[in-house]
Amino acid sequence: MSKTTTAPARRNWLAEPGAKGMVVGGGILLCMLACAFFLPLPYDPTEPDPTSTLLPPSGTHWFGTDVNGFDVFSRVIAAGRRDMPLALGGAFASLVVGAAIGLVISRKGKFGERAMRVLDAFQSFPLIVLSVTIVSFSGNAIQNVIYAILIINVPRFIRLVRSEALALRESRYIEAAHAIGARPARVMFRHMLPNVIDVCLVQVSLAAANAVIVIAALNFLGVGVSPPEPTWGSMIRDGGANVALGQWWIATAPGIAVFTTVAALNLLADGIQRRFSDE
Amino acid sequence: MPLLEVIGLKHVFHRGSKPPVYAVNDVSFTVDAGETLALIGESGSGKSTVGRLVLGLLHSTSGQVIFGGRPMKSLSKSELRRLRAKLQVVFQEPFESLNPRMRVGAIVEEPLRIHTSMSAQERRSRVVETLERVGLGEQYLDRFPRQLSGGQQQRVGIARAIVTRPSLVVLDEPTSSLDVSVRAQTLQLLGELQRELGIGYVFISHDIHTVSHFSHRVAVMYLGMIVETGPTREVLSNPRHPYTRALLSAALSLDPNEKRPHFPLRGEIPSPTQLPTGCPLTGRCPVEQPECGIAPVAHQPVGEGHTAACINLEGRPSPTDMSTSSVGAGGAR
Amino acid sequence: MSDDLLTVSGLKTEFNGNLVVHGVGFRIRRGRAVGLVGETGSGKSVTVRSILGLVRPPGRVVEGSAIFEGRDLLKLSQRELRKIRGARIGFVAQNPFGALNPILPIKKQFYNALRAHRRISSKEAYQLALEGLSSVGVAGPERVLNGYAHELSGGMAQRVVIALVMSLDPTLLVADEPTTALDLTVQRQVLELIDGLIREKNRSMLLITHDLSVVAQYCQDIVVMRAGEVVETGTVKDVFANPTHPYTRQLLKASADSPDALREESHATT
Repeated sequence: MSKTTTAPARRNWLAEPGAKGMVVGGGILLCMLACAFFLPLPYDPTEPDPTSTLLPPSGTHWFGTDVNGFDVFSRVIAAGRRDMPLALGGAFASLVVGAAIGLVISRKGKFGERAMRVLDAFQSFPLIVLSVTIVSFSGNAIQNVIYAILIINVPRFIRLVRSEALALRESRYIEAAHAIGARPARVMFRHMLPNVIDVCLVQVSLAAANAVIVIAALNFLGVGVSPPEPTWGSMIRDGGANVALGQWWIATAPGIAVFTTVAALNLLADGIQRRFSDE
Repeated sequence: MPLLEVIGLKHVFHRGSKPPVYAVNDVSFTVDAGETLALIGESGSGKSTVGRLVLGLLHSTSGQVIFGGRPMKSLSKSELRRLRAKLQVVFQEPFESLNPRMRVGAIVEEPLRIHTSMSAQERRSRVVETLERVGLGEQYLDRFPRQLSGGQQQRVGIARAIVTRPSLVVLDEPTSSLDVSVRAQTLQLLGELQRELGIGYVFISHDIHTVSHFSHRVAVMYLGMIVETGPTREVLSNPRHPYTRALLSAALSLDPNEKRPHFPLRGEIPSPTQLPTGCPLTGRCPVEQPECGIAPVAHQPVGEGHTAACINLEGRPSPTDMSTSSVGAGGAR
Repeated sequence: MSDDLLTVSGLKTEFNGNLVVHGVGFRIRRGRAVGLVGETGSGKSVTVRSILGLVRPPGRVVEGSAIFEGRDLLKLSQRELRKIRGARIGFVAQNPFGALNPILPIKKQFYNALRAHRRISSKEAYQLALEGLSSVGVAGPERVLNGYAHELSGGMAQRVVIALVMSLDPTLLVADEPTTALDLTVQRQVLELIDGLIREKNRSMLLITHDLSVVAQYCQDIVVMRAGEVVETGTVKDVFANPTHPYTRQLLKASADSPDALREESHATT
């Protein structure tokens, strides 16, 4: 419905729906990324100190130390340097691949329909099992973790972009774009894409949250880890046994990191969705 | 040479396993520069499909659309695209036809970017000039469609349509979605633009009274065929085809003391997947004769430039056994 | 028996704490059709739903009365209202397909409607339905009864709804924009149909519309609403000839000026 407001001079950004979610979620994320890359680490995460093993959190070791004498805090931050970009990168890669495929199969006709059925069949496998299997056969290399993320997330983008594209094709302003003589490429990039982007951003955020968990899970299983490089997943595994012994900080610290990242990404996704859902 | 010539246009929508839809069945008309032809019809008349065929957004199954002397079918895809600088459209739902992510300035500028080699400066000044011409000003350049009222959005649509100074604009129910109070202004604007720029209009509408002040000639459509055509004033004051008469009588008076005679049609409009043989109004016509359902009816002259496709123009009453029958539980979609 | 069939007074309804109907009152007399007019946002639909007990949270009827056949509808329980809705007050909405169940054959819907208010066998219901459909001008009624809603065109479906509603023989028919969604040629037919059915048994009608010409032709009384209030009431002949409230005058003028209303003359542009 159109409204008769005149152009607002300066919008109050915080009052927009979803703004708080975006700010808080995005803010936490940025903080964590900044810490991961720029915070000077109190201790070298790969240099164990055999003299100070299994120390509880204190003024010198904020998250305590683990069985090898590593400073847990430094390792959590250092792991973030790898895990977070990996998750975000994996999510964006999924977007690009999925969107490309989705656009291609959004043309009307049997081809698109058949392609979707193939995708349905693919998605009927428990994808995490599938990706773990594939990855464990091809080894521990880090690329495999990315492949796993792609396998799991590309289908969601294919579906999303295809359904958005199909809906858009029917819309009047796309018809108008053709009617003014725009070439198909122009219609696609100038008219269809900007209207699909916001929904995609929501999904990228969610895909990244999912990717963090997938990475942690795979790392927990030992995939994609090369000691002594720290990863949240492997730290959780290594510290898991210690919890029963009362040394809760070794597994909890990376656990909190994973939780916070995922929560921030979800908040961000929710905020974006709220912000753009009325337009 | 007429600006637009439509000859024997037919269009069938094939829907795979479902029965085909005979949307346009032998439509012919011409439009000259600076003149308005109104295509009037209810839903199912095929008028919107004709609009799309004229614009080249659809390719007809048979028949010709000749614009500026060139048949559209003979044009390559890129020639057809270039033609759009001269052949434009204004859609019914103003908000739907504008890209919600584009600012007004960009929307109106786009046809210039596509079709001209004007510099950014020249484009901007043409856009501002056009916006002013439609009653919006420079301050609207940076606004988004959702910030405008329905009437304003439609003006943006009009601005986009005329920015390349086209020779023909198809108006597809341009005022139907607007508030009653805004319709008159919009039509006035369109009329002024026509006089100034010499644009020809094909005005598609479901209501003959909307175009009464506006169009030079009118063609009444039913089930994909033109049943009556002629100068607007003439057709409105002296409708001859039973369908036109029914359509006009459907309009109600604002005067509580005035009761207009009702010239009703029987039954329901048949589905366009199954056209009646002979006259399209067969089965519904209040003055139907047995011969009506046999063969397609040609147009008979009934006045100056005014024709109607009916063999019973005198209005001989139907034989009794005809008036009791009517279209069955058809009208299914 | 008083002349008034329905008397509404001081009706106030709110949504989320905001009043959308601010003390509305009007009368519907026996055997007369009242046109309730207003533009979008005038509160006419909410008013009617309030009277019929169809307002759900976050909406709430705050105060007022709606006396129908001696009883205040606003004070009745839903159970008692259900007996009245349908049997005494019929309702026809703008979209006929909203009133018809897409998965039941039409005959079943007649049966269900009749059965809800009295004891009747399916054979009797079928007979009544058949007669009802014929009286609204549906040809081939058996085929329609055995078929489904999606097989009908808009005009046909609205006729079926009218037959359905009338089969319960209500004294008051409430019609909310019953023809707005239909083709022009069908609109007048349906209005003529409704008009005939009302007169036949001296029923009353509350016709909600934004189209003043419909009121001019088919109603005897008019109630004009704007922003949740009644601004003018009176007989159609009086109000159309001498509108007192400026808003009424504005509405009449806009309708007269709109190109749709220019019925008598046509000047083509030169």
